[in-house]
This record gives sequence, structure tokens and C-alpha cells, in this order.
Amino acid sequence: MSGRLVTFGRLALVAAVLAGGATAALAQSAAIQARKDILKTFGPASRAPGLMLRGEQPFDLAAVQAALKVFADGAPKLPALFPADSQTGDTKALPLIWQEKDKFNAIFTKLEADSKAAMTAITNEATFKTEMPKVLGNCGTCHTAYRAR
Amino acid sequence: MHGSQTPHSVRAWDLPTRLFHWALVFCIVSAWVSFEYAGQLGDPTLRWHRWNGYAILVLLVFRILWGFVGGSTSRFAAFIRWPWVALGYLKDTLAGRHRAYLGHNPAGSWMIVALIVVVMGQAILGLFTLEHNEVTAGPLQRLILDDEATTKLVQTLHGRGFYIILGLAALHVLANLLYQHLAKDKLITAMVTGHKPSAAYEDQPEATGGSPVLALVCLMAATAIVFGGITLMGGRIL
Ligand code: HEC
Ligand code: HEM
Repeated sequence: MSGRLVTFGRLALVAAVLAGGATAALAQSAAIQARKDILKTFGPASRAPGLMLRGEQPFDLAAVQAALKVFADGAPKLPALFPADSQTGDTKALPLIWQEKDKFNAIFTKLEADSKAAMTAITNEATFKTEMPKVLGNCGTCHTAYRAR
Repeated sequence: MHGSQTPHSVRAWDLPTRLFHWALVFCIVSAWVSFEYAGQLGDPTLRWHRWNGYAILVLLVFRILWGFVGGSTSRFAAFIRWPWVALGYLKDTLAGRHRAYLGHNPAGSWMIVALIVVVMGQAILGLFTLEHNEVTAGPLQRLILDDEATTKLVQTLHGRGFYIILGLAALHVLANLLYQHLAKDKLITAMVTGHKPSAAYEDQPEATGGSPVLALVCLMAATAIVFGGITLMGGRIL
């Protein structure tokens, strides 16, 4: 009787540990996946404005506004997607992020603010050329410091 | 500066070669800073980095031209020797039989060639590089705009290339420090003042400097070659 109970207890413990581990692993990769899904929309969004800045594509206000909306909508969701248990796995996020989380998050806040400001400030090609680099500059500032090359 | 020009000191490097050298050092440091801190410096489109790169290209092309018409120690013909001569020299030096040269020694000369080739390669790659957020690019990126694989490769090579330059430069600086302090052959002082104490040098007893007018012509030609070349290839200098 007590022998069976002990056996059951051991089984339950192992099962619980395994389940807990799997849940943690899933949750972890879920955060990594979720942030990547958002960032994956940033990449294509910045492409067209980049081409316009370099003069390879004609200025298109609607496309610029659409890109700004992608950044303004995505940026506020991102800080929550870098929980402490998402440092390892299939990720290019550097450990430095969790050593200075406030500084890191502040860049997302700035990206959102700059994008919103640019939505009203950019009305033509001239304002685009002066305002858009300020927005896109946040991508590089964060990546050089916090993303593995 | 004038202290070293005692009656017993001889010219080792002319002014254009020294200016080239220290300008290149400055530009390479600044190439790194201007990328790494572009955001903090308020230059997200890497304008400084790109013009810094053009400056490096002009400097290198100038140096190549100067290698044919410059001062006697600056000419390639005066310092590029067979690799086995360099190896023999290295063996002697390591065995404690240091032979003094007024200009580049046979081993050092290959370091100079390697530095010029690698930095030139890095700068040319930069012309084709797309910034990783596609915010900006080198003037010739448009030639490979639709070729994603090549664009990616160039980006990676231009990113890694800096570490090769860093490695070579570290070796180069270390060797110069060893000469300056252990071998008492003041190479670093000479690249600053242009002078060395007169001695029984293996290569030349005293250097003749290149003509300043010719140096100016070389500089103008180098500028024309770099910007003309980029434009002729269909580049858009931003
Ligand atoms: C505050 C920091 C920060 C800012 C701002 C930021 N990123 Fe990122 N980005 C990251 C990090 C960290 C990763 C790596 C995520 C990972 O691998 O878990 C990343 C990854 C990416 C990826 C790769 C996604 C994938 O896995 O395929 C793209 C594309 C990207 N960012 C584009 C952008 C663009 C464009 C901007 C500007 C509009 C931007 N990012 C702004 C931190 C940032
Ligand atoms: C020898 C001279 C040069 C040096 C030492 C140099 C150095 C560097 C370094 C260290 C980086 C960072 C790469 C990374 O970490 O991913 C970089 C990026 C870059 N460089 Fe240069 N560079 C040089 C010349 C040029 C030139 C001539 C251009 C174009 C005009 C250029 C355009 C770029 C661009 C667009 C990037 C961004 C790449 C990215 O975002 O991945 N560079 N450079």
C-alpha cells in the first residue's frame, strides 16, 4: 500500500517536473516567437522608406504612413515580450538586454513616440527626408547594442 | 619635432607619406566609431561613415600612386622584396641579429601591403553594403539591389572585415612597439618626425623626399579616380 503510494508519488513528481519544464520551454519559445513575429513585420516596413531615402524609389506618402503605423503599433507590445526566461533559445537577443532592461525598453518607447510624431510631421518629401531617419535610427541604435550580429 | 633633426639625423619618410599614415589611422578609428555609435551621434543614415569611407579610398589610391612617384623610401620598388627575403630577415631578427633599415624592413613591407589590400577591400565592400535595417547603403548597392544573396554576403563580409583589419593593425602596432622599445629602432618616432639617426642602414643611407607638387597632383588624381569611378559605374553618391 505505502509502496504503491510512493511509486505513484514518484511518477507524479516526475510527470509534474516534465510538464512544468515543457510548459516553461513552451512559454519561453512563445515569447521569443511572439517578439520575432512583430519584428518580422518591421523589416519589410522599413524597406520601402529606405529605398525612398536613397532615391531608388519615388516618395510615396501613403507607404511611409503605413510603415510608421506598423512601428507605432508594434513597439509598445515589444517590452513585455522579453521576459527574463527568454534569454536562451532560438534568439539573437543579447544578455545585456536583461542587465539594463530600462534602457532597452526606453528605445521601444522612443520608437513609438518618434513614429507617432513623424506621422504628423511628415507631409511631403522634404519633411520625410529630415524626419524619417530619426525614426529608423532607433532600429540601428538598438540592434548594434542588443542584438547579436 | 626639431629636436630630432640634429646633424646626425637623416630623413626617413617624406611629409606626404606621414600625413597619409596618420590620416588613415584616424579614418579607420572613425569608421568604427561612426557605425557603432551612429544613433548616439545623431547620424542614423551613416553619412559620416560613408564620407569617411570615401576619404579612406582617396587616401589609399593616393598612397598607391605615391608608391610609384613618391619619396625614395615610399616607393614600392624600394620596399617590396621577395617573400623569402622577408622570412630570412625575420629569422635573423628573432635570432638576435637585427639588421636596421631606414625604410620598411623586408617583413614590415609585407604588412604594409596586407594592410593596404585589406583596408581597400573593406572600403570597396562598403560601397556595395546595405545597412542591416535598409536605412542606408553604399553608392554602388543599387547595382546589386535585387540580388539578395550577394547583398547579404557583402553585408556579412563588410561586418567581419573590420576584425581582420583590427587583427592586422594590432600585429602592426605590436611590432612597431617592440622595435621602438626593445630593438631601440625608433620606427614610431620616425613616422611622426620623418627622421632617424644616421646609421649603416641596409637599404638606403638617407631618403629623398617626394615633390610636394607631385603629392598634390596625386591627391587630386586619387579624388578624381574614386568619385569618377563610382559615378561611371552608375553609383549614386549620397
Ligand atoms: C529596443 C530594441 C529594438 C528596436 C528599437 C528595434 N529592434 Fe529589431 N530586434 C531587436 C532584437 C533584440 C531582435 C532579436 C530578437 C530575437 O531574435 O529574439 C530584433 C530583431 C529584428 C528583426 C529580425 C526578426 C527575425 O527574427 O526574423 C528584424 C527584421 C528587426 N529587428 C527589424 C527592426 C526594425 C526595422 C526596427 C525599427 C523600425 C527595429 N527592429 C527596432 C531589438 C530592437
Ligand atoms: C576601410 C573603410 C571602412 C571601414 C573600416 C568600415 C567599417 C565598418 C564597420 C566596422 C561596420 C559595422 C559592421 C557590422 O558590425 O555589421 C560598417 C558598416 C557599414 N559600412 Fe563601413 N567601413 C568602411 C568603408 C565603408 C564605405 C566606403 C562605405 C560606403 C560608402 C561603407 C558603408 C557601410 C554601411 C552601409 C554599413 C552598415 C552595414 C550594416 O548595417 O550591417 N563603409 N563599416
